[in-house]
Amino acid sequence: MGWLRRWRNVALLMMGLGGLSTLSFNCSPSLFLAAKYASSFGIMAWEDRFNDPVSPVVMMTSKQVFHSMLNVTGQYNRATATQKSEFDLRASSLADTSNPAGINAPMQMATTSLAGEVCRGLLDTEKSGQRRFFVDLDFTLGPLTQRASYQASIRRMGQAFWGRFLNRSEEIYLSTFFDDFTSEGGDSSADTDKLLLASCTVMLASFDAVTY
Amino acid sequence: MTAQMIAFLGAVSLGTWSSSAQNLSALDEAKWMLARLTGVQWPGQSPELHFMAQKIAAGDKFGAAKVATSLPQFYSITIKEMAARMSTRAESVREPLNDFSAAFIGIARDNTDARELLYGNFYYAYSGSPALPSGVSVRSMNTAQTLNENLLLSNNHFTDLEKANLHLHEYLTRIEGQRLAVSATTNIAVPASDAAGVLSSRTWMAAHAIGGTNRRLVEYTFREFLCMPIEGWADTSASDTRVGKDIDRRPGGDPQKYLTSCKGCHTVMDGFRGAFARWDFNSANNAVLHSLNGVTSGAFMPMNSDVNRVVMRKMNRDTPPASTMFVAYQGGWSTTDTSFVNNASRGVNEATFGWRGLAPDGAALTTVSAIGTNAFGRLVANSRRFAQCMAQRVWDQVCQYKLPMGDGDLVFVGLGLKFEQQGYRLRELFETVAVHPRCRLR
Repeated sequence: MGWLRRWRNVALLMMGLGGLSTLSFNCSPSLFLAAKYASSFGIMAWEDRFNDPVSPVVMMTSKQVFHSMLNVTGQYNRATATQKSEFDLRASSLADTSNPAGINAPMQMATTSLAGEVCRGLLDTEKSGQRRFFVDLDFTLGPLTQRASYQASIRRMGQAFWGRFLNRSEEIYLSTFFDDFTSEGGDSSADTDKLLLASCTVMLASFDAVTY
Repeated sequence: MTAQMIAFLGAVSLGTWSSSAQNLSALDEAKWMLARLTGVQWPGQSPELHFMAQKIAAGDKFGAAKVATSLPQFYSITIKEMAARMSTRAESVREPLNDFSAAFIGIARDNTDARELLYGNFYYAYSGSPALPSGVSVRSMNTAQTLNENLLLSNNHFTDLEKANLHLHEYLTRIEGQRLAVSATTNIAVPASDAAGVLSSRTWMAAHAIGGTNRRLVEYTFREFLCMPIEGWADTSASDTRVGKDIDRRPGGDPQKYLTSCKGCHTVMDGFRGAFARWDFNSANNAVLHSLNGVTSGAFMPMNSDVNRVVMRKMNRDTPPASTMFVAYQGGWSTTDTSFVNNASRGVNEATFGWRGLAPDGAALTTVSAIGTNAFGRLVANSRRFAQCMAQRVWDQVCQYKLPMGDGDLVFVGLGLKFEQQGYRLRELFETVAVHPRCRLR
């Protein structure tokens, strides 16, 4: 009879566990809900909690990216029609949430393209005489003899676009870019434009410029 | 630029504001605060940034936040994006500027009681002053016809304002008396009992009164202004007297399903639904319809109003031949006026929402006569939860992260109380949140 008692005890234990699991899982989602909604303000937040960044890095939304680019380049109150239409074209590829996990290739391409138009506007402004970034550069000359002026320009852009000084590796990277560009042989005034446009675009479309 | 800021720039040029470690730390905090309150990055050399840093270094964080909230980007980007998320079902920041967002910007700019967003009889638009910059045009609303064309039957007016990249807070004017198009060229005043700030705005109606049974208007009011999704306030033990005829009491032949599931949401939602009984939205001509607009034919006639033209037919769904198939339970509630009952006032719901009568004076809620959307908005706006929810919205916009459960309750209750003490000033709420010690993650 001992084996019978043992089996009965095991069966009772199994039934108890089965009942407990049924009560707390399949048939009683309300118990889960009660736990889930223990904090009333947590309700909206709960499902997004694992998706939202718990870090100081926040992506800018599409409009923020565009206005930020205009703001740091000193064009906030005078966006051109070309810049606006470029934004309209690219807005749907830019972020609409603050989650950096949403960064993808189309977003990076859209950001780069928009930055290019904003930098073109900056270049036009500087060439018209309002110098803020390319202070010592001579737009009538090629870039080859203007390395020091170029480096001063990228430092100014870094401080404006990123709100900080360039670190050593960033400065080396951009200087290497200057060397690569000029080693290709182009040294006309148009090449100066291209060099500045590319440098401005790469800095304005970088991670630090579209997060805050 | 303020005189204070000019004086500060003088100090910088004289070198009296040094680059000590303390000042660099203040500069770092100012950079963060300025970006979060305006929604954009600022050049490291900008005077606003250094002016804020000076204030922070001197222990005046509120003063620093006030510098940021005085800038045009605070209104055109930060406030606009927060409101855009709340204005439609998509809850997306991509939503263009509209009458809903404009009201938020205006209320923040005027620093008036934000509860008015839910019960005020006004709207914000560009009324022609100040003059627009050269080369900028905004489709006007000077005549009844243009008001209809560009504001009441479309979003043209606001689209133009936004496309022009104007400093929105400088061009929006508060205009008393909401309007309702009744033909292509004429409009009438929205009845005072149904004028309810953004709850009777074109954007809100287009999003939530289109089709359906006007329950979504209640659901989204709770969702956006009380930060409470439908499952959060369901109460199966409340009275289901007000639950409509279109709700099946035996879904799938099982009365228990209704009693334990369906009823929970409908007790509260259908209880309040009467407040919106006169509203509809016609997507064919983008017109907000009101059952008392007096139109008896054509595109502006409230086609879906009940036979007695007091409430919209969609409130009852029992008038042949339109929708007899919607009648699931003949014993359900028939809506005949705009009265409503608050079925979210029991147990946990009472503590959660903290109902305190109608704003602004705490008048008692009565259901003995027709009440309308205005009273509903006043009830919601005066609840403790509204203040706490606005604090949460601002937190999400500025701090950009979710607080752990439990902590959120404490923080938002505290910020909500502060918001109330400050007279529900939205701009000051942003400043309070920005200087909150837990807002900035490091």
